[in-house]
Amino acid sequence: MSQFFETAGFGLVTASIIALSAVGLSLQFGVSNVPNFAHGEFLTLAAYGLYVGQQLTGSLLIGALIGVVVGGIAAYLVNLLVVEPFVKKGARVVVLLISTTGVSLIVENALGGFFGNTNQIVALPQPVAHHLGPFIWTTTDLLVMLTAVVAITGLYLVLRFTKLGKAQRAVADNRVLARACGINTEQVVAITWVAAGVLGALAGISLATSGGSFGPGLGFGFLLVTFSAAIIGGIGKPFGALVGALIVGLVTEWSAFYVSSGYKQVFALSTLVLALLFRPSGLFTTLRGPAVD
Amino acid sequence: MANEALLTTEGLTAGYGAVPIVYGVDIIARRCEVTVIVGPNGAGKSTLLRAIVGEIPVLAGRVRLNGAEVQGMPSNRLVRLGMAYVPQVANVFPSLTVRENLEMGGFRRKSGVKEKISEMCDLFPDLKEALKKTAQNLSGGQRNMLALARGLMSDPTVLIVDEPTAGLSPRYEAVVWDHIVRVKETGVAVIAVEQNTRRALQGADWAYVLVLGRRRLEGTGAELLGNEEMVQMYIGKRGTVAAVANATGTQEEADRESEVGSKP
Repeated sequence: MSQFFETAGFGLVTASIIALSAVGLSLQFGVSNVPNFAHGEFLTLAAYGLYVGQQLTGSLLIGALIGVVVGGIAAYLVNLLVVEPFVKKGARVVVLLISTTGVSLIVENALGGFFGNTNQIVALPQPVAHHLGPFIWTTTDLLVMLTAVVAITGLYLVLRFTKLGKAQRAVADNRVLARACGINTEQVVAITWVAAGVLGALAGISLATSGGSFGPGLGFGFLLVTFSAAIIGGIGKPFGALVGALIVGLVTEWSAFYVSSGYKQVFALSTLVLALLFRPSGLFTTLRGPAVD
Repeated sequence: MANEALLTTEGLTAGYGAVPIVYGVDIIARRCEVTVIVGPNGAGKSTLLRAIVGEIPVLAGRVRLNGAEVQGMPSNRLVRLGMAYVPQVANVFPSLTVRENLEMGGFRRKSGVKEKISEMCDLFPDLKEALKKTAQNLSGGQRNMLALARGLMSDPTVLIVDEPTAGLSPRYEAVVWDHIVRVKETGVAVIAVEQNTRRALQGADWAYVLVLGRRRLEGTGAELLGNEEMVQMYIGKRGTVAAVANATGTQEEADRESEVGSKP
């Protein structure tokens, strides 16, 4: 039984990383209505930002800050240079899907070409184990979970109580009407992309520091679980993605322990299929369609 | 200055893509007046409004708002210049509360949002009780009230309303029109498109009859209501697109407008 809870503890750490990534993806989709298959690259670029920053300054914290900035800028540029031009020309969803996948491939291969395809090592302090009830977490684990809680709580407060957050929800509901209210919808969408990039960057940094090393495929490999969590929660519903992340995180870690770690992705996808069999639009959608809640 | 022209269109031609739906339309909306645009289904009424508010391209002609040329300007910039637009459908943010909907209506306000919400609650008492409800839980009538109130939150000089009573019961129709008349008395120029022609003409200070994208008639609401032949021909029960097309244009024109105009 104690192993069940210990594994659940790892599951919560994994869920925190998935949540950071999936909440960002779901928020960006809810507001812009664009499926972004380059989202994984925000994670990868942030991890490389962390690595380069740490190499240059010797500080993990400064490296992490650089990683966050890199993730935010990357998301802004993907929207500005790739997505918006297609949207303005009235491109269909499938075109956006292919073009963002293209961005992902370009970034991954460019990073491989520049840094090499071998894994980069993040220098971490000696791990210290903390026993909290039935769970065992390292300091890094606790920092990862704290980061997720603070970032997602911050996002909730912004969406619920600030003028910008309400404008984001308004744009998600009805972009034409939002414009008729005087909201600069393009600006709101651009800010949302940056927020998604920052959340993705936090996920990438968490993933790199949890594993200790990473390569150019870091984010792309994580895209499947990110989409699983986002879709289970109801794509476009960022706080649904939070619950989706919790389910996927726990299921993957339990499956790794009780079955085999090689089946993690199989179980993540099986959970997605099972959830969609009962709730085809995700757990937290209503018949009215997607909206940022 | 009462009755000054706040919004005018001169030879406005507009449509979806390069295909015109309205042709060379001139209208004037004056302060403290309700100007209505009526006509059979597919006449181009909503298309005309969408062109004025910058949601579809203007192919030719001018739109002047408070003296400034604004054709082709996006709707978020028109709000700053004093225009508010209430679409026919999807006219509220369903997942936002009534209060948040009103706050979005006042998005461009530098200050006084709370006071303005309170003012709107006085003007539309139904909303006061529902401030914490999400808009998707309102009745059709309450939604239309909220849509009007949201439009007024920015203190517009020109309020443009597309079919404010669509889908409402006769009791709510009367209530909505009563509010529209009250809005004009606050110094606003109101432009309304309506399917319920008799009701609209009763509340209109000036009215235009649009047929197949062209302005056919104009006059005070009372004048047009008194013109029995015109009512029978253009806006009575027999004023369908097909009947009007036979009298004044081609069926293809009517079909095209019906088809394109019905797109969201």
